[in-house]
Amino acid sequence: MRAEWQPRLFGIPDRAALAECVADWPVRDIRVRVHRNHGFEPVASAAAPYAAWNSLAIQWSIGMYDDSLSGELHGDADVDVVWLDTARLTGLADGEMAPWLVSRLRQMREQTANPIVVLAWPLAADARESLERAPLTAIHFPDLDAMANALGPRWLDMRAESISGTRLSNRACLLVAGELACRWLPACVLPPIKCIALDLDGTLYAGVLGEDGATAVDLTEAHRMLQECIAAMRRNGVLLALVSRNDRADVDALFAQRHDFPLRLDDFSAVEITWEEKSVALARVATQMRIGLDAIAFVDDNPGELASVASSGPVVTVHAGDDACLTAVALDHVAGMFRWHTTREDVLRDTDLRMSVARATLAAAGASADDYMRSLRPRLEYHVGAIGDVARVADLVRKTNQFNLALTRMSEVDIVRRLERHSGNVVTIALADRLSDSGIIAALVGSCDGDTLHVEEIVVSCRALGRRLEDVMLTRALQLMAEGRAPTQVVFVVQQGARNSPAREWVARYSGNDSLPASCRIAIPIARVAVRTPSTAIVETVRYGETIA
Amino acid sequence: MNAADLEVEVRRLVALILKLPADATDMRRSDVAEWDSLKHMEIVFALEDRYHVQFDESEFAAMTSSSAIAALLQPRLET
Repeated sequence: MRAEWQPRLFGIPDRAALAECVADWPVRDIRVRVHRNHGFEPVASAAAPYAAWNSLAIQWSIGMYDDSLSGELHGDADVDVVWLDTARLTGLADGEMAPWLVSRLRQMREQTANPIVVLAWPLAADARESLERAPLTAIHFPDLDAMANALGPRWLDMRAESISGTRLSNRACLLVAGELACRWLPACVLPPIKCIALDLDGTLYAGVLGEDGATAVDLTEAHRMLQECIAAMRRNGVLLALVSRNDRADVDALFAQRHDFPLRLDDFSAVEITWEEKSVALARVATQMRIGLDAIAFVDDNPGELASVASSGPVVTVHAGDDACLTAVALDHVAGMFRWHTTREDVLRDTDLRMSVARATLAAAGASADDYMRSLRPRLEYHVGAIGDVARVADLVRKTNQFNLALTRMSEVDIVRRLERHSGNVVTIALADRLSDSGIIAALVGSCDGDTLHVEEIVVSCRALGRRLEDVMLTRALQLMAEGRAPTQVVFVVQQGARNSPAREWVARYSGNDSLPASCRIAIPIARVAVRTPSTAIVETVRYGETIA
Repeated sequence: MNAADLEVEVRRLVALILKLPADATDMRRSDVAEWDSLKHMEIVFALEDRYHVQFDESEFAAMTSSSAIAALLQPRLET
């Protein structure tokens, strides 16, 4: 049924057709408070099917009209949305809009740690620039002016303003609803999609490779556009996998002969050309990429394959219909595909993953720990109080499932608040070796209270696991957290999750416990973290971050 | 499309937007609590999208029931 919805959601806008889309599958709630000075209801009512297609349900709490944005925040929410028609703010002179809005957002930030999505229109270019430059944590400014320009005169509809409370047209409201439900809100609360797994026949081109042959399958203009979109997503850090029922020799010939394809075989980090069930192939892709199935979006032209995959695991599915342009739009609207920012680590991920095979070979060769380190020449860089790394720390805390000790999922704002109290409350670890640069692969967040160093969260990216570095780097990071303070003990907060046994096993071993209850606090004397014998092959450096005014 | 079929279709669309079961008889705005002014605009938008027409602002108030809407629509669909 999700496949049937795609043309209605991403084709020609039709509010009646959208209203017919009612999910009969489980959905996850996102609670959203809306602070507004014009009508939001036409957006909220249209967002439901877009959210449901992504297995989400948005619970809106829409406030009263308030030009001053000074209302108190009531009730719990996951995200706050500001819905502002700036033309209604007649008391503000030119140049006053950005400073006024920044001051209102700062006041709102004092009341909530939620991500805030600001949908303010119209905004002059200099006002937008000022807002984007303002030091506001986890506050995002999607560009509604660009959307208005794209729609032209269809952006506004003055007929309905007196009734719906907004001068935005139906078309504009539908467009905003789709972006909010599929892109902006999920980017605030859900982990990102890390991999797009693609079928070949009928998906990346028209035709059947095994029957038509490599030179005869048809790269239509729409398929070229789809491939170009996917290539752009790859450049932004999304990994690609090929999952196709074909013969490997045919697939090799296809990519060797079709120089007109924007995608090359080498762009795919995992290639599963197999006659097995696609769910089995996707499970292998997930294992190879060290990600969960829920971090994969699978694109296939066969609804039966999609249904089979969807029933076997939490993979998100996208139907490649006859119109490949529509497939591209749908793929772009999978929750978790859009990100507010692309980190350096996103871009490094593909190379790092490919090098993991070489590392595994070295580890399997049975070399001693020291020889293994000498062969890799790891370089660890610790960064204490790294305000510039907060977005990456929040990403790690939100996305990491395996080595995530407390599963706090704390927000960017939570992390900044700890940094504001003491720079040593947040330490990041970047890792590189002779094979690749992995970027920031671990973070520790905590606080020091009297004689106790509270470690509220330790996260290590799965890409860094298995390199025999956990003890060395986490011990050094704990020393740095304690530096300049005088704790006598370290207390780790530990939670049990579905997949975080690597973190729990590490802390059990590190603290000398055989087993741990599901939820606990483990205390060890500070003297324990004073002991460290890193291999001389490991190069370590420490940086201290900017202090926060 | 004949008038009777159009009226059934409009009634179904109004019920869909109001999230109500479609009535077998005319749906009158004055009788349906859910049919408030905001939902009224949604109904107008949904009709415009479905039938590729545009209503004049002065017609909004005349759309007092599913049959009245169908009567407003019918001549537009014939041209």
